[in-house]
Amino acid sequence: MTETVTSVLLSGNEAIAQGAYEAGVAFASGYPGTPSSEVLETLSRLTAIPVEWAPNEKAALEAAVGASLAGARALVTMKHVGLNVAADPLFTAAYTGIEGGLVVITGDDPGMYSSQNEQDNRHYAFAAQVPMLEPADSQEALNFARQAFELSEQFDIPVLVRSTTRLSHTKCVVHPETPELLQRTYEPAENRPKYVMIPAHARERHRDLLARIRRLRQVSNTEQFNRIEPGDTRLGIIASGIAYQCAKEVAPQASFLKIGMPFPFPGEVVQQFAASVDRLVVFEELDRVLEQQVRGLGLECEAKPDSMLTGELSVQSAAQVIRDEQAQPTTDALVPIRPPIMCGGCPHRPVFYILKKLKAYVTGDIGCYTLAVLPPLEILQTCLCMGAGVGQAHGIAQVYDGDRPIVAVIGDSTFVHSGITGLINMVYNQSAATVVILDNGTTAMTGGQYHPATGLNLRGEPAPQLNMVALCQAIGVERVRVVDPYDLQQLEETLREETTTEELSVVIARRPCVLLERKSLGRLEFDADACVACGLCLDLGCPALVQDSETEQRQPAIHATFCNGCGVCAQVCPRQALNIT
Amino acid sequence: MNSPESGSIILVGVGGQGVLTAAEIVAQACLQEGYDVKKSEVHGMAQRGGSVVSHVRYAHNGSVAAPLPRPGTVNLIVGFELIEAVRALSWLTPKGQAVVNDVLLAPPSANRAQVPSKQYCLAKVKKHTQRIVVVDGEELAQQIGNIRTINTAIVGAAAALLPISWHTWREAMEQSVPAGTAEINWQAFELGYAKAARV
Repeated sequence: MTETVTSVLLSGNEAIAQGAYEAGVAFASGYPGTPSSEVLETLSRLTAIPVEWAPNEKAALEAAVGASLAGARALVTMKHVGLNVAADPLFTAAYTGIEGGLVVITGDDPGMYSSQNEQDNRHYAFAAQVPMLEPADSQEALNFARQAFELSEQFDIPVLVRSTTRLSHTKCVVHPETPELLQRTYEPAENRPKYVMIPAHARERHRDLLARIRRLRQVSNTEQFNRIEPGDTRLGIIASGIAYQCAKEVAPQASFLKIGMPFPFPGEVVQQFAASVDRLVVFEELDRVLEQQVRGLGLECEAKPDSMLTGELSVQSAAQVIRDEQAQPTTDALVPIRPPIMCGGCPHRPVFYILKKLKAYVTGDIGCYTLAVLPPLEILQTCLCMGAGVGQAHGIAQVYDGDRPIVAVIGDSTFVHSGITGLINMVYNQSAATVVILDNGTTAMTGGQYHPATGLNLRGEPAPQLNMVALCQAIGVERVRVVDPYDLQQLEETLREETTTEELSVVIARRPCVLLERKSLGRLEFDADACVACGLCLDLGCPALVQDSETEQRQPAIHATFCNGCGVCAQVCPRQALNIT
Repeated sequence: MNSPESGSIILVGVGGQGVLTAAEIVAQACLQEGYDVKKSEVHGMAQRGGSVVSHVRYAHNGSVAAPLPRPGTVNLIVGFELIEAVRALSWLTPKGQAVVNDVLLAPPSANRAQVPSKQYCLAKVKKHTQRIVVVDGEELAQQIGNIRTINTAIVGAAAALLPISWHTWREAMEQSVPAGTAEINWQAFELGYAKAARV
């Protein structure tokens, strides 16, 4: 009897969601972040279980640990730097272990397509002593996500599944199956020696963790995740993830040890594989994680040059390492680059325009507003991590005696993620800096996800809405102002007052992201006779206004397709040459 | 295509032009034609006016391994914008082909001395390809009466150069475009196809 096999194209992220669904996942939480965001969005369409955006990754993981304590299979998703935020519960959850299977997805970003660093989260598996699975295509992403739950329950331990941007955002042919029907009743576990990590209990649990890892090493040394693909024994390649695919393309005849479980490291399989080949090459993206383990076994191997410690690996880099091909010089196309920019009508733009006018020193973090670092605004001075701008502004203000206003900018979603504690610090330690919350009502950078201050949950259903004004007041901020960034005069007056006052103040610049509503507020018209080519409007850096290529003067031309009629340029123009009708 | 058994396509354009939907149609068509396929894309910044790139690799007999091809091996560029088409040229094989939309969008961040002319871009693409099809996607979409079909008109033109059957394209279209828009997108596809078939 033959079964009908459905073939569909799924991205790595969609496949992870499908795998979790097939495993009977009963609770899922996370915080959006490229490249991980689509996992929960997909899962919410597959099943009616609670699928939630949490305020941050730590809250998400702790909630998932709770669901697991009650016996449910629980999934948490985040980008690589999100795991830094969630690291605290992760390390100790390795000690306690789990009841229902607990799987943590980390989306790494080699090449930093949309991240502030390219840390290699395989280190977390080694550091936290938590098994990690690393798929190399969408079908494996599905299988590994599903098997991760079984592994988690079998070995009483959270399991990390590591994806990368290329894997998460590549669609491959996948064969989905019907989900498991888990007949479970959920009841919170009472097991204090296991779940209350006082030192006496934790010492025992640490020993237990080491024993669990020893048992997991036996799984790692089977074919289930770390597979030998016999081939020409003159060349043996150890590789994982997308690097495996690139190496496979360059040397399809070679022998391969495909690593799908880098931790616990499969020492025995590696020894056996190394003994079977003449030449051993380790090919891996980012850090030398596998290579160091191989060398730690006393084995000699070849590996990539230091230049490949950064960025994505490619078929060319595989050819360079495996076949010693010279890197081909890339020919420049001699066309201008096209970096992302703040949209036409973006409500962040006028805030930065005014802050520049006030000669403010602006600290920031991650979001669309990070784009204020680029010309012509060039006003953002820092981007370290989520929420950092608030802390930085406080530290600067505590030591800086000059006249420049010290201003932190932070998005609404980011404020909820990790701005609040920094603001409490400012209140407590009597900061004189200013915090501007750029409240566009969404997590814009990652594609417009809802968060606690939007009044909608992940599925877009009504939810209690965090009142940011009341929150700021409740934690002791005495000066809280709300302003419409499209009203340039009011915005300037407010920011001027609040940045010159000697006490802490919060300004909430509130206007929905233009990608949320996509409606036109009016038609922008340009009166060339009235224009004196002062170029003030061009200093806004709006894509709807470009320097007229017919003239050398700083006269604007209107790109109507990018204009939403926000009218900010009309307010900047001193001669009424720009008008909204 | 120098080999009907396998190939790779690069689709490039600017955020908001519908490049990713177009790539989805092409990848679905490859799948339904019985090819193994991998479609890779860089997005996240797509809505903010940045460059958008999607690679589609397909092969019979044995699977596609790496999501991205080697530079200098792509068979077809589908350029929704001329500067982006020029930027993608280093991916193309010397025997490659190109379908380009006859539009140039100057990057807002570029000063005007840096912005090449349409003629320059078209000449560059011509020089690097064995065959180039220039389509005025906006004009075709206007003929249909819906400006949002520019991308499917361009996919139609690309379809004339790909080893995929007519009815497969129709199915792929129905699966990839928003519900209720399949018919109007199909009309645009047919116009684009006819345009390329005439060249």
